[in-house]
Amino acid sequence: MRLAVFGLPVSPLLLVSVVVALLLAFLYRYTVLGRQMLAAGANPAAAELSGVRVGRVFILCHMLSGTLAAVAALMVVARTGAVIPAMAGQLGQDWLLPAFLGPVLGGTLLAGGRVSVLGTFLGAALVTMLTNGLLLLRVGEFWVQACLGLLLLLAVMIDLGRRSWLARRGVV
Amino acid sequence: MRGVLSSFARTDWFGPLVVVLIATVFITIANPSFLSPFNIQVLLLAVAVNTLVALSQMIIIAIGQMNLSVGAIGGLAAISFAGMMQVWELPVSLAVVGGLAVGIVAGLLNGVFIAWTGISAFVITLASLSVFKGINLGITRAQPFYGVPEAVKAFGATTFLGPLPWPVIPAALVTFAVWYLLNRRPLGRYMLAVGGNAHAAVLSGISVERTVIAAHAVSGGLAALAGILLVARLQLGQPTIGDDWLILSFAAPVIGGAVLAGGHVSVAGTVLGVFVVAIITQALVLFQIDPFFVQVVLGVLILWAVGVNRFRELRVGKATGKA
Repeated sequence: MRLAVFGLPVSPLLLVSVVVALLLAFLYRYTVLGRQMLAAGANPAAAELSGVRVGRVFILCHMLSGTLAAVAALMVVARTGAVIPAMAGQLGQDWLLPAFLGPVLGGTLLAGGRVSVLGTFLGAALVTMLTNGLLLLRVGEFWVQACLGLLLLLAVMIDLGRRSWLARRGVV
Repeated sequence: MRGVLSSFARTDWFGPLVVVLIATVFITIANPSFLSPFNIQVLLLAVAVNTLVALSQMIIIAIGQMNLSVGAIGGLAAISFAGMMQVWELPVSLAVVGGLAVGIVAGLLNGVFIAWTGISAFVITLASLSVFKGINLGITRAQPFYGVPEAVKAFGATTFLGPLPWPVIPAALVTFAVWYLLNRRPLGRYMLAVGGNAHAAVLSGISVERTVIAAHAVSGGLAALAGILLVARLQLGQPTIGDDWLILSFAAPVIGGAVLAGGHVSVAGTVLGVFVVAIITQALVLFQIDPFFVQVVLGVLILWAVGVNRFRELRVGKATGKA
């Protein structure tokens, strides 16, 4: 099934992820629970002293994470029309790298306390486009994984450079 | 007697040793073929390779980090070893040196990146896991190297003194070397110091960067040796070598009493942890339980061991008056 938005064919699956991303952005920006999650990530001790129940927030975070993974799994099933036990590779390893690439490329702090939903969305789009582009360039399907690994190294390096540049200019 | 027992109970290796003995007795009663020479040979072969995998992760746990690329390094070293012998027709000794060098350089790169950028080892080794695995698949195009020399095949298939397989010898020597490094050499003590408290280590004049890089190089070398032994055991250079090492590499050190935050590991405990995992895996096979449950059992085992370690830490903390 294809939907047309401004004449462009769009998969309905994309609409699902856009809606989920909007909901997440709303959660982190405008709800108490979202702010508590960020506070607990930035400094658990300070959050606890400010009345955030850090343990409960962590449990809710992991529940949310599990739900999002389940949504992604349902979307894969809808796309492939089949259910394969090894869908995400051995122990889900095929999802591990993209799962980190998206947020890190999008500027999420690995130390916790800051997320960017839009950045993560764009990061995931970039990873998909690069994988697709590398295949079109006939790099060879076996080298794509090596390139993605190098991309993650590059991304964390750029993030590090960006932060030290901002720190030198006294912005952060 | 009571003093001796309680001083034993305080060591890291006591718990896993009791588990190994009880499990052996119960499984032998239920199924006497467990202690047959052939089963012992299979068990020891698995233990020889897995001990090196576990020690490779243990070195990194000692400095308070994680190394997700243990399996990828092992796989890359294994196919380099097999490839050098088949494609370049190098003698076995040179190929072993070459395979080990690949592993040490791969670990060195991990260490340099972590020490230089200060980014968490988890992310760096996740990236390098992908890079090394990608290079592995790029070289082999997912096809195994079949041209492993007869000498290497014989090393992995024959035994000495009854049921003892030959790979046990390098594994035992390396295990002793790692114990010597961590307990008797300055470098090993530095690693534990960095893992225990990096800030205090810097103030004591230890170079954290150099220690981290050295630990990752040692870890890479151990993973490479495990990969090379696995080539001898499987009789071919499989590109999938190392894919399933990750869970085991964490399970054994943690069962052996290692603290994941760093600074405290036990070589004897880790070896016994490998035995626990191997015996449980074998028991599942002997009792004809679905092999897919091995993953579930390993996961539960890690959680249980982490819980036990935490409980012991809290108790020791209470006894000495600090948390």
